[in-house]
Amino acid sequence: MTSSKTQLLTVSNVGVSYNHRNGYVLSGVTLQAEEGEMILLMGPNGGGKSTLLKAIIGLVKPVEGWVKIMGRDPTLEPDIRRVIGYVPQLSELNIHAPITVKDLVSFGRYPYTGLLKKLGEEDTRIIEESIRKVNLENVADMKISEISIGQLARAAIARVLAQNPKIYLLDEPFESIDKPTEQMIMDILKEEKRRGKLIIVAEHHIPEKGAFDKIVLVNRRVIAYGRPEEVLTEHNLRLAYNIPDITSLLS
Amino acid sequence: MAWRNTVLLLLALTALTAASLQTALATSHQINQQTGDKLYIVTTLPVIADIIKNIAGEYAVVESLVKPGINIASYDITPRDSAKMAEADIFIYVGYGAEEVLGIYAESIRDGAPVFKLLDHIPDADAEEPYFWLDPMKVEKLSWKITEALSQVDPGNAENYIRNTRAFSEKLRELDAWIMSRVGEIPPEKRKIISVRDTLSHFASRYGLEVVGYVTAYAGTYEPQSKSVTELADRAVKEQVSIFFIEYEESATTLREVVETVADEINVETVEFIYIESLAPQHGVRTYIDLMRRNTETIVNALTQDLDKPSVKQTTQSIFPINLLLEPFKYEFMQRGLVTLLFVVVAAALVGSFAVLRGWAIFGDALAHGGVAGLVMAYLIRIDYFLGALISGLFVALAVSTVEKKTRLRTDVIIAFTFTSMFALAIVILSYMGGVTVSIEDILFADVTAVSVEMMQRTLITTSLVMVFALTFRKALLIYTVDPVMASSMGFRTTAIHYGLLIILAVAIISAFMTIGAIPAIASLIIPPAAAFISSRTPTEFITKSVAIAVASSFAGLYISYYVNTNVGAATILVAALIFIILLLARRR
Repeated sequence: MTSSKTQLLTVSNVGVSYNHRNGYVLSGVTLQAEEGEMILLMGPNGGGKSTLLKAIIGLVKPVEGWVKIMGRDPTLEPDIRRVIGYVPQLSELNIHAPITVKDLVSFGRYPYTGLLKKLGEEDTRIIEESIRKVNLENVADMKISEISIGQLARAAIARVLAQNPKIYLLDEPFESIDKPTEQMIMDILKEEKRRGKLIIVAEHHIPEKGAFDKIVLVNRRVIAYGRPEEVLTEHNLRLAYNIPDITSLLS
Repeated sequence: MAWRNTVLLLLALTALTAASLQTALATSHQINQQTGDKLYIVTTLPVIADIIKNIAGEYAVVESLVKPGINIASYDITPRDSAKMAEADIFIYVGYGAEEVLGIYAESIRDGAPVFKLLDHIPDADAEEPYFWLDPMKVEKLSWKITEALSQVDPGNAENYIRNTRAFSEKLRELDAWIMSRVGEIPPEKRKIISVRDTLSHFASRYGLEVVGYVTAYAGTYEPQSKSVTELADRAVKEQVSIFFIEYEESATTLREVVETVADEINVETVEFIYIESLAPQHGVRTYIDLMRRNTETIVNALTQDLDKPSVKQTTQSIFPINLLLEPFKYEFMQRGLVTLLFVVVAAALVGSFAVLRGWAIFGDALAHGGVAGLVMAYLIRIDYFLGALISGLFVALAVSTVEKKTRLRTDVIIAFTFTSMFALAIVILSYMGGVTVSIEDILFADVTAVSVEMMQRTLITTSLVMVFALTFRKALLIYTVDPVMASSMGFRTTAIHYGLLIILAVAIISAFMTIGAIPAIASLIIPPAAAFISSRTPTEFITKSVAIAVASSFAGLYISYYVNTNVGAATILVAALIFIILLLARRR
């Protein structure tokens, strides 16, 4: 992590509240991240991981602090969001629409074509390549309501690959999928990291030890932020999860 | 302890209901006080009330439930009127159509108190041809029967009633002689009558006229049918009738629009008004005698004019089966109907596809019923109907959207709330409008073949704008409706897309509502996309199929309505629903 790398993301003292009476879902979150980094956002359910991702992309407006994507505020300048590839939790996807895997992936090219122009040859090539990378060629023309949950997870990854973003934000991408699929997605993400992309994954377990440069431990606030060995101390994990036995998380 | 509050609330409501019942009883007591010692007679129609007044004179108070200027079809029983029906010393009604329903209701609440049904006492009139009072001599005969009935209820005044009737009888004979001589001025070959409803048969048979056509028998119980409309046009041309008479009771119905459209098509004049059930004091028609004199003047003046003969602008001559396919389109109004129907359903199917993807199918209900309220309000404040409906539709769209954002209520709750209350608003406004006769059935199922040239042009413009917008921004609409979060996360202006979709939805549904009626409008937004949805793989397939189903069902609907004689909108909905069921079964196999 040399200083020549470009800083892509700044989160400064961000607080989020959906309803003032219920207090903050998140508060005082401060982070910086630059290209080629792979960051794990870890914490218990309801600890604010998804909310933090949504605040980063500007889907949720912070009541305090600010987020800057390459120096620009995504809530004020929605255009900057196109440099982010956001994959929400699978349960948030609308799988009942009459669209094929290929249709879903081609949505990733919409920021490039704009909403008026047709997909060009280059777009088609990128769409096909993205489908190939996640190994879904055989179901490319199937409706997304007809494929398995693992295939759907890969299709969602292919969609962001087609978008070719500078930042990947993935919300629990390994939830309810099998180990080989998880490994395949991890390999793709590591490849993207090598190409200089910033990758932020929210999960409640650690998918692959050693793959992540930094870990952010979140439970309504940032409990710890840094290299895995600094963050994953028993003390921090107890603070984050409020449970006595944390060894299962480390295995 | 929420249940305890609920119980208390229910108790309070029960107490309130009891209190209001007491008020109702007090009201009926008031009615008795108003009439004093006089006989209290309640009847249904203003014209019948006036006939009875001639008999009862100063010895009774006669009241009509339907007020002058209101169509029996748009009359709803109110609690106050129920009290009047129950309290009357005698209730008198004619006994046909919607009017008979009132009579039966009155009998049911009067507990055996005197009821007099006029049609039971006239040998040559029945519920099919009830308008006997347009023949004064039939009224004369009936007057004696009424006199008998009143005398039984009020024997003390029997002598007085007989004296009154004798005088009235004299007036009726005078009237009859006068009408006879006036009608005699009409050249024999011109003594032919076409009117909106079959109202003039008794008048015609008394005075030697011939009723050669009408669209239907009763007000409010009729859906315009394309076949009977073309038959009317054929009849007018064949019989060389250059004039259509419009009944006052039809002054604001779809039926009148249909007749005006046909008349325009075949170069026939329309003449206002023939007064049937209603008196119209604002037009100088205050009594039964006024009504008969006015009708006679209107008919004689119209039929003694020198007018061009009717003619068909365009005829199609060809051999079976092309003839069978082209026959419905012999008249321009049928062609206009088809073109308008196609534009309206294609726009609705296009926008409906996105609405279904977004889960907004039920939105059409709120918009269409908002349109109903808007139309009625436009009527009331005398602005353009289309504009009124459109403003109201857009208002509903924005209101639902805003309430959805500000509260945590689910969209379906807000929409159900909106469309029911907008519809209720329309009903309440309608019942307060005097001198106007709009039937809610005409609004729910309009007749597309009745569209005027102007309405067709407007609809083509609005629906074309909707189509151009939907196709131009189809990618934006698609990504937003499939997954609004994804669209927003990619930096698209989803708020703009959201309101854009709402606006074209409102414009499409109001255009449909104004031409094919509220219920077919809602259906055309939902059914073709729903049928396409269950059988489509890709968005392009989905949208193309939904438009294709809309077009196919409109053609089929128009032909069915022509050959089976039914409403175009209803037939179109049924065909689309059938396509949906077939596709569903095909998929399950």
